[in-house]
Amino acid sequence: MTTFVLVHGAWGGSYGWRGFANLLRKDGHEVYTPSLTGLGERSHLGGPDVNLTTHITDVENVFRYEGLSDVVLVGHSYGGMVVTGLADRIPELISHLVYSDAFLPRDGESCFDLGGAGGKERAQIEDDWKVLSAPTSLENATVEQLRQAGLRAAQPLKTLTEGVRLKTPLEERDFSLTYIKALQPPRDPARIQAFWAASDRTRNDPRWRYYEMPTGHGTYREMPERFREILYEAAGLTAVAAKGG
Amino acid sequence: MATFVLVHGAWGGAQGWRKIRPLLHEAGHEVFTPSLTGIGERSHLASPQVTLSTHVQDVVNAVFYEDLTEITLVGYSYGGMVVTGCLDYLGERVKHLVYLDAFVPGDGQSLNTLTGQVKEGEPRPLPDQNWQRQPMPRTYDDPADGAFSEPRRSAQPEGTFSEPVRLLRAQEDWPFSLTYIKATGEPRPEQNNGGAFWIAADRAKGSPRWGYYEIETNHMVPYNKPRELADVLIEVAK
Repeated sequence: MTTFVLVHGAWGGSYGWRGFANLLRKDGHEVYTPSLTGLGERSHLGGPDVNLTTHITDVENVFRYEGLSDVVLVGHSYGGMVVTGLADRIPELISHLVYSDAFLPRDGESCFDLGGAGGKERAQIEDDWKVLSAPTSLENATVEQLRQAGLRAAQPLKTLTEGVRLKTPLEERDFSLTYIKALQPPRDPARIQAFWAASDRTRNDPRWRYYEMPTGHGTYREMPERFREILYEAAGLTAVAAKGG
Repeated sequence: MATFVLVHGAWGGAQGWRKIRPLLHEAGHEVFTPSLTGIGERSHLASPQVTLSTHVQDVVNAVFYEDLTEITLVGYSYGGMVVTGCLDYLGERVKHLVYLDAFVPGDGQSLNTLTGQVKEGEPRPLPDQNWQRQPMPRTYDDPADGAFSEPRRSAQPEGTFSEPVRLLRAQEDWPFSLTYIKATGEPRPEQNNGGAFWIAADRAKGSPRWGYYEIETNHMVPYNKPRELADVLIEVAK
């Protein structure tokens, strides 16, 4: 049995991981999918004081209160900011660190610095702290996708402006490192560059495992079984062990 | 497959269900264990503004964001206040309501009135600088459980104890099943109002509307008797 902690992206919530988490649980694994403060089921706790540190503490406390160690920690999209902060705070509890089409900040960088939510200049902000999600295409959306689109909460501004603290570079730690890049949409100078920059940084670095998914950004929802296979490989689980046998 | 929503007690957290979750997962069920704001893994969000309403919304949101239906909703100890407060919002989504050695309030009652700390109808004292209440020490059958659990119990905002619950439609008037599980290793306290769990248990035991179970251990049932508790929950959810 392996312990997974899955961290969702901006404007999201634990509901986005439900199907994928159940896939891992069927194989006998323990899975935690905390909702970050101000988002998803925690949207009633949003406010101008919620920052990146709040989100890092949200997840650190799951480790501490559940007594977790030897964890496969996965950050999706904005969740990459959060897991990077955790890599600095609780490296001894992490065995495998996985970025899923995620921000890969260096010390001091904020999500806005990396162009998240359009960056400081282009972000849509209401009431001085609510950063709105860019409208996504709902063409051909399923009923469940429409329902989830309606759940997207405003992202508290300070989660995007606060730089992450990463005094020891990830590559100098003991945990394994994996980057998963979603190939759709293709590289486009008019769109956000951060995930492609992360891909360029990790693709040929022997310290990193690097994978590509022929999917859009919501990669673990589009191809959950392939995503699971990658996580098992990253975590060194053999196919047999992965099936609980 | 059943869907369980397990609501922990005062000073606790989702970690209190750590022995129950795997047993329900193994039986093929889905389990949600929201941590209440200001305590447990959410203790960094504590403030004097956290009230019973906050905790009700914590659980209501967990249910609505995950779009859960036909739930077996379980409130443990103080969690009985919370699941009761949820009914106005999501009673239609509940299939089975279970109180585990828990408070069973009626409309307008708070934990403080149920324990006799405040008389019903009296004005609530305003929170002062002592806006948090320290945990009561508990005992565990296995010292290892105590060593894990006790350091993780955190002070809880007073507003969760003092705010009365709202319940437009009494528990018995809903179509869902009602169950009370009593930890019988707890002595009946002498003081009149100190026995809120025994009063609720007696009421359930004598009512055809309620199912009633006993588990022979002290209040820390999820740590001390996980197999017995999981078996009761699975039976109730059938």
